[in-house]
Amino acid sequence: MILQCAVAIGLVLVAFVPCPAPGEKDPVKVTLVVILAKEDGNKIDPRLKAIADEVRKLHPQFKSFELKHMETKSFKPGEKVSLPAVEKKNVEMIVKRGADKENRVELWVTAPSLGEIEYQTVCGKFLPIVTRYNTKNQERLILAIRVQPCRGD
Amino acid sequence: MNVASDSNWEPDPELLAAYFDGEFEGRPELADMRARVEAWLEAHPGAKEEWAAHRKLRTLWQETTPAEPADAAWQETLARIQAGQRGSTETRRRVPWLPLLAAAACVYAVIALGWGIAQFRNTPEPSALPVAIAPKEIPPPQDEPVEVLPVADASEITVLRIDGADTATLVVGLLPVDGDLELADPGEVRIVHCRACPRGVVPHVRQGENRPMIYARADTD
Repeated sequence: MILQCAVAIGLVLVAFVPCPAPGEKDPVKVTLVVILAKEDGNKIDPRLKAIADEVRKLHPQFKSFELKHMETKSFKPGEKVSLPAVEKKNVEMIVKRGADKENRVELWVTAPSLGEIEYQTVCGKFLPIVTRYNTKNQERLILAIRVQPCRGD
Repeated sequence: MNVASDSNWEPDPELLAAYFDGEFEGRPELADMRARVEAWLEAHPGAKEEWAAHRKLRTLWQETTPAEPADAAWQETLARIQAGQRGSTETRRRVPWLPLLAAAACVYAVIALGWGIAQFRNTPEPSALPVAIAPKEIPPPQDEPVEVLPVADASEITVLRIDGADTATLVVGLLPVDGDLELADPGEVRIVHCRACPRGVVPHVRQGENRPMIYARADTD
């Protein structure tokens, strides 16, 4: 009888415990968008208009922006993943820390012709990274990285 | 031309034939070639003997070739051919049983055709022949439900990777990025550190009024 009561009380307590919000150790989903910018042509993918506007403030010579591909992958903080970028070059990344109380995520990224960059960024938004890598067709490799889910999602 | 310096030279059969046919004779422009061929023949006595036999055969052929017939001989031969053709036609006309033979063949053909038609008409009707009966098509039972292939809705399919050019072809599913890319706002990105970054191209995070962006200038910039 006592055991049955204890089980019942435990179930009631479990039912009232709220689902935990994504913590710093929960798996996160990283979205990588690979973009190629060219100095010739005049074709900008409509989805890249905001990025193109920002990049052209620094590199006005870029006239065309192509969305090469997009990819999403879930992995745990501390786990190293490698995602293909272009021409058999990869982007490696580690989520150093998931979304904290301020919804900031800490990410470690290394991209072609770039070193190892560790940065904190807001959750759920893209950060453009303009690399030094030029493809064989003289296209500049640009990455856009987003981390989700955020606290409260 | 220095013959001695080209010890590997060898005349081709056409050249040797021309030499033995005497085509080099009386042609001073070919004297050099003639000397070259003769030098080669001196160095190759076997070939010289073979071509001498060939020349002897050619001479014998020229000596035994009969003379061309005169025009009178041609006319006489033609007249004999024409006379032979006329005689052949007259011989055919003189065969009285030839039309009878043709008529008999026609009668035989008509009889054979009539017999064939009679045999065809005596063939039993198709319904009288034993045939295999095809099974009747069995209609599906009306009361059994037809299974409709289920289609996942958009929330049940997540595309993990797709080329930018293929996003318009997606029928069902959620793209990694749907719509415009929402960029981080000013002050929302901070570089912790940069390790092993190329010298002189340490990435910067643009701050201020503009949206944050990590960038490194390329050598071509």
